[in-house]
Amino acid sequence: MAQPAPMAQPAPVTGEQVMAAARANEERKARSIWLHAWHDPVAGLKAYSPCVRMADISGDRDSKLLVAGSDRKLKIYKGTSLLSENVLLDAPVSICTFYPDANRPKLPSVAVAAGSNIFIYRNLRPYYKFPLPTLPVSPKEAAAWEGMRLGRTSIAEAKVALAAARESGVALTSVSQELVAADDEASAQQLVDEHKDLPLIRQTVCTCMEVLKREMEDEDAVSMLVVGTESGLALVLDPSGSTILVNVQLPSPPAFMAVGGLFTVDYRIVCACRNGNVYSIKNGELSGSVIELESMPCGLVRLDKSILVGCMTNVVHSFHLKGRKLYSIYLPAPITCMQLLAITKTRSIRALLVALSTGELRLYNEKHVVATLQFNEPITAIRFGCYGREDSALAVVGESGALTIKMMQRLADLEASTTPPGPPPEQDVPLSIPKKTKLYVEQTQREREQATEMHRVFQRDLCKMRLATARAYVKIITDGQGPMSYSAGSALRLTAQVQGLGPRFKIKLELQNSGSKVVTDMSATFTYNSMLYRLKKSVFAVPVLIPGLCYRLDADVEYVDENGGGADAIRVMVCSPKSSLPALSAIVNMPVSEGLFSQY
Amino acid sequence: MGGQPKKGGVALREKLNWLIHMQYVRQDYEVCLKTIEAHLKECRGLSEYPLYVKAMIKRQRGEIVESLQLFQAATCLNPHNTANLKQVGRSLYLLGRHKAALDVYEEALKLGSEDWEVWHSKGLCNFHLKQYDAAIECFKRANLVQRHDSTYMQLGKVYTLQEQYRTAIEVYTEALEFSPENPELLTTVGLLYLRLGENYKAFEFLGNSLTHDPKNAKTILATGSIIQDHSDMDVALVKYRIAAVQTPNSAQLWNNIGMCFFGKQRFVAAIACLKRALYLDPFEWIISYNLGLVHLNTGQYASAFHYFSTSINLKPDFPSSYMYLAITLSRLDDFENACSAYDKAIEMDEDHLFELNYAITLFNHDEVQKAAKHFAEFQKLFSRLDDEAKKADPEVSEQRDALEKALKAAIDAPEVS
Amino acid sequence: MAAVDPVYLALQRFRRHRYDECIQLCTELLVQNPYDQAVWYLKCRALTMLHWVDDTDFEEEGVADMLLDENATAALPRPGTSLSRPQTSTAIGAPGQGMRPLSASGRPLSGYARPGTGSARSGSRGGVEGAMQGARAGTARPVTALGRLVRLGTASMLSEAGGAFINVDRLDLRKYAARPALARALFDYILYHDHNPRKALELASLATVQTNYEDWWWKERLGKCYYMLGLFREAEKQFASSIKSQPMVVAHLQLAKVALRLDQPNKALELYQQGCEKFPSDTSLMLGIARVYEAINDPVKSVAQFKKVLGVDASNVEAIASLAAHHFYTDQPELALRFYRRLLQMGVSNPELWCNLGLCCFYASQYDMALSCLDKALTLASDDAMADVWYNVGQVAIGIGDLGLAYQAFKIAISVDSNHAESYGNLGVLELRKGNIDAARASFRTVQNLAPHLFEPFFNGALLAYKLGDFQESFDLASKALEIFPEHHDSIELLKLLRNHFTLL
Repeated sequence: MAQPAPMAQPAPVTGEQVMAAARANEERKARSIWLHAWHDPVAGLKAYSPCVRMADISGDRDSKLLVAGSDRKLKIYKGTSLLSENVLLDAPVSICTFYPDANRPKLPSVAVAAGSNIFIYRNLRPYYKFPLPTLPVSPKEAAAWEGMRLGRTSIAEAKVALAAARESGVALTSVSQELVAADDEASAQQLVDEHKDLPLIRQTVCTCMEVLKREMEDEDAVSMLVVGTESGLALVLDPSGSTILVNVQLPSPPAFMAVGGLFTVDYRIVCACRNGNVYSIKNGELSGSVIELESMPCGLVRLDKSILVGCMTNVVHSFHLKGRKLYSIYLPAPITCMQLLAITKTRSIRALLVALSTGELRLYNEKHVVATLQFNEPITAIRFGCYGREDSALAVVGESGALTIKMMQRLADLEASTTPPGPPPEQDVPLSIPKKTKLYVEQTQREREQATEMHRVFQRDLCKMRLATARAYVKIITDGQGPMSYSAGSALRLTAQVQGLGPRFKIKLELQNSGSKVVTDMSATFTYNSMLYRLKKSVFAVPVLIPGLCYRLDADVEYVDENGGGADAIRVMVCSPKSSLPALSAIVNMPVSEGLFSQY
Repeated sequence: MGGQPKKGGVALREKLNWLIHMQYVRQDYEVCLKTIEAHLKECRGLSEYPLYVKAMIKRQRGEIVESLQLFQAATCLNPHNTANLKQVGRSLYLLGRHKAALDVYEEALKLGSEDWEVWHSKGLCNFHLKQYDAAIECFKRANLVQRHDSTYMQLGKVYTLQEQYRTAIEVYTEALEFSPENPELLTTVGLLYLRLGENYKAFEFLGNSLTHDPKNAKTILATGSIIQDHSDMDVALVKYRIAAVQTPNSAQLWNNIGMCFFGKQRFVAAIACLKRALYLDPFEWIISYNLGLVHLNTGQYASAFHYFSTSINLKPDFPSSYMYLAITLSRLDDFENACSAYDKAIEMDEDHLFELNYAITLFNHDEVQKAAKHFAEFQKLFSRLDDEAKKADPEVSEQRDALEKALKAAIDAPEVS
Repeated sequence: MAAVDPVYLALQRFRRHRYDECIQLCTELLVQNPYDQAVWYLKCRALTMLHWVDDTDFEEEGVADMLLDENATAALPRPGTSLSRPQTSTAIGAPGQGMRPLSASGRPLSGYARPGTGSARSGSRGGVEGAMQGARAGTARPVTALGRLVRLGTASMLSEAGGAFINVDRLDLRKYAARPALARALFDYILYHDHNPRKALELASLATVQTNYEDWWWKERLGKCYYMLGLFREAEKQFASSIKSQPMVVAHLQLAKVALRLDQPNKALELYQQGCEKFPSDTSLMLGIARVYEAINDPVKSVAQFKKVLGVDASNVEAIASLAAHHFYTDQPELALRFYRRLLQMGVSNPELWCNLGLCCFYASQYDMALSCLDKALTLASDDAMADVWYNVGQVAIGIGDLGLAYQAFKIAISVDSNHAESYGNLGVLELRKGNIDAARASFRTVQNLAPHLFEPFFNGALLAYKLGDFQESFDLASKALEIFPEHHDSIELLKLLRNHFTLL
């Protein structure tokens, strides 16, 4: 496709301009791939990718967009308008469309997984409800309830028994869990009364759902549902969605599934589970090769022979189906959605769509970015497929509920450029080298001429300075001046702050022992001008100073001079009985006191 | 979305787990926490998975203590879930309580959770406890279970700390076979090679790393320094531009830029850049050393002395500093101290340059005998060098010839006082 | 020699700014003749002048204003539109936070300490604790109420034992309002000497009515009264109206001051600009612009403005000092040296200047003078500047690599001023180099408490905690460092590392 002729650009001057030019270039490239079709900022959709699908549900070769929102509404879009809105019975986990039979006209059913059931709709009318199989109840639990029903055991005893069962690793039914957790007798009694005559059931809920083709690859071939449950089961239902054909137990509940192959020939279900591992089920058997990830998977896409797993560490790993790692893509921000982009009809393209929390949508061919689209909000759901009569449409749902439809240019060049990407645009940002003036050159000239002289003067001054510093330093050590002390192997630190406007002040002392030994027997005292100030208590016994802890002492000071307006310094000293010199001291410069006018 | 009460008012506790998980992995923590809070309220805080995720989010936000408490609460609800136990261990590790963490992991192992994560974490704890051999053992076992970049990185780090650079490189190379495009690994290997002085190999790895992550400031700095060594200053400067956008306040970066300008004989710019570097990191001896070199070249001997002495104060065991200090001192007419600086340099290391410069200085101060002695020493050291090194600096041979001639003339000349 | 006419003498004293003597003479004269209007007028003026405050300058905000700021409109204003939230990202060509340290108010360290900029504006430091701590270095006392005015007021009450000169409450203001010359003197007296803006307001409004609302002077004074009473909107109206009657520099300054007080720096800028168009060579207006730019963290523009000021008034201390500081932090100590030397030639001689000179000399490689300047600074320094000078001696010591000397200097600085945060910070780094990890950690912690506006101690603490394996503390500290300096690359890297640790399974 013809690239627009590059415009003549003035030479970049500042870093900002360079970066802006680079961004503009990126946008131009994105436009050459994606065509904008429709944007509805107030669609109000609240759905994640599994609840957004595209399918030709009315069989008129005009594909619709189905969105099952968390507001329990199934919205169907046709073109740029909302076709219908159906109320769902429960909050949806995932929706799928599948062809239950080969009858003509071929009309797909819509399956909505919600809670413990899968609701199947035909012609958008409720048709069938498939409840997920209940789980076995442990004999211990059953015995406890049996006892209660017959009145042989008290509720308290049953509670203990149930809790013990839980301790030993038995999964309880939700009723039992509730009972164990009930803290007052009345509610426990009520619970037991309500439930003791009902059969004990342990339910599970659906976590994800996908579709597996039965014997043909065609788009409208007969297909079947694959369901993952909270109890860690992966189920394959028959095309009518009424019986379970395959039942596989996974070590952990699956969060994402990617399905490939044909049920009657050879199929593989890849499950990314909540324990951070990726398992695969081959023809109904859990295969031994497990991919253990370093962080939680947040997206899963199967691309031909490879599995792409997005992780919470902002990286997409590509694994071979057998578990060997192929490559990794490092991303600048958290991944919010991952989706497969597959075009089969006009040409054969398979690529990866990754949405980032910055609102960026990237298209990867292998490990190379082909295009990026920038949205102005984080994306919650993406779906690529056939919409209307367009084979390659992209539906994007934003965080605010906005719906955007983009179309891919038919001839868009999705080939990954084989040449490595050019240098980053930053390379053209000039360095900000500190400027030097003529004055500097003049001064260096002076140095060149009088180097020896300068050197000697400096050395002499340095000696003087060292001497002065050393003197001052020795003075503070011997006088015990200063807020830090290192005497006797302990390192104490004192900070003093004064608060208040006067005539009453508060001096806040903080004492900290930053050494490693405990310091005992210290006391804090103040010296001050007694004409000006009065202290309620001027000697404080300091508690045992444990290393690392911070001790606070508050001293109340009152300004007593009647004329007001004066101020003096107060010296705080911390002394130890071993030495006549204070261990450390601090000078608090008292602020000018505000007079109390009501005095007279 | 709240779960609807089912038969008899008992809600399914796991009902929203999928949603919580989804929101968590999308790192949409605000929303996720809201969902969790609503759900926890409904089941009075007694739901394991929401607690677990809440703890994870708390950890991500850096509130590890709170997170640890939540993990412990989750463990109470389901004592047989090793995932909770492992997280307790990890929290302890993150809090710096490595011993306690090790104990928890031991327990997890006892519960039969033999996986990569436990071994890797055990290795980390041992590493922080400075039990390097145990750490190596743990990392190796982790890799036996499943190979991971992070395990390799840590293993390499342990070897590097023990100064077993070759072994470290082996580990990293093995890791690269497993994930050949990890820029962090590539850079680390490159830096190790650089440390071992194998610039060519280092450059290969660093360049490879740059193709995958062209904006990594650390890699750019290392690559640039190698390019600089090959006197290709302009190329290096262009590379540094990228780094300058990322890390405008990096002392090393400005140091390297400064030395690029020095190589291009643009002394003023060099000094300006180096001074900025020094302002940013006053404790870096190499910047002072470089500044000394530049000032020596521009004839500002007072400054040169100042920087060399700073450099020596900060790093007393670098012999070349002493030699340059000596040269500076001799230019400042402080012959006595110059000699002692030379002696110090020679005492620390044998280098033909020290001897040659000493000889020149001595000769200039009419100490012909001593000069001849050090010159002879120089000849001896110089002849030991291989041909390539001999030709490396033409100035050396020039000076040698000149001094040789002058010495001969001085010795031959009748002594006239 | 015959005695000079005492009234003339008093007048002369007044002209020579010897107000005390003038007042004394007048008091004696008034005892003899209480109804001498000329003497009364003179005494009134003299008393006023004695307590005159240039109120076009911005003043420190009092505790009450800080805590009970009714004018704050938005809790989180957009950067650059409010003084309480200066632009965080620095403009192109300006030194970043990594190069130029920040003051407690989140602005680059200024070259000139002026009232009202040192303190963090209300809310940003948070709570009573912050407001009570006071802004100026050295004293821990906050400014109460309208700073200078009230404090001077209390002083005058102490000195004047013999009762007030004019008892305003008993005056018939209406009578005075009709006599313009007396009224003005009386007004200034009420406002500046008695600090009774309510009464002054009464007089001013009466006088304005007398002059058919056309006298700019009275309107400007009305505005002043409103301002003092905290009625900023009314004050604004009066100043604007005053400018309409007769554009004067003073009114422009006052109007801009009101805008600043209402936290509308951009509006203040506009007002100053308007003033500048009318009075193109007035430095106070230009300085106003420069100050506002500095306050909203736009150093490039503020430097340009200071340069303009210097073009008009080559000996403006504020402009010179600000430019010097700017050049010092943009790697041009030699230029800064020039400016400081200029200050020296102008007769400024204080420890801060000598200290700055020493630093400039040192960094501009004029070694022969550097240490003697610092030495001079040390001898001149009083207690409050002493710590800073020692701190800088320590910096120079680090510069020559003499870490022992640096250590001692920082220790001395701390002993002089136990709250000298920067010294603690550097001491911590030195301790760390010596391997005293606990001492370093404690030092960093102290700085974090003392100076929460510095990012370095937080980052240093974070790095140390990371190395010790305490990721929780490291994370907290690094986040804090980033709060202060959002672009700090090393903190960002550290946080990234930590996050990585957290996200792993």
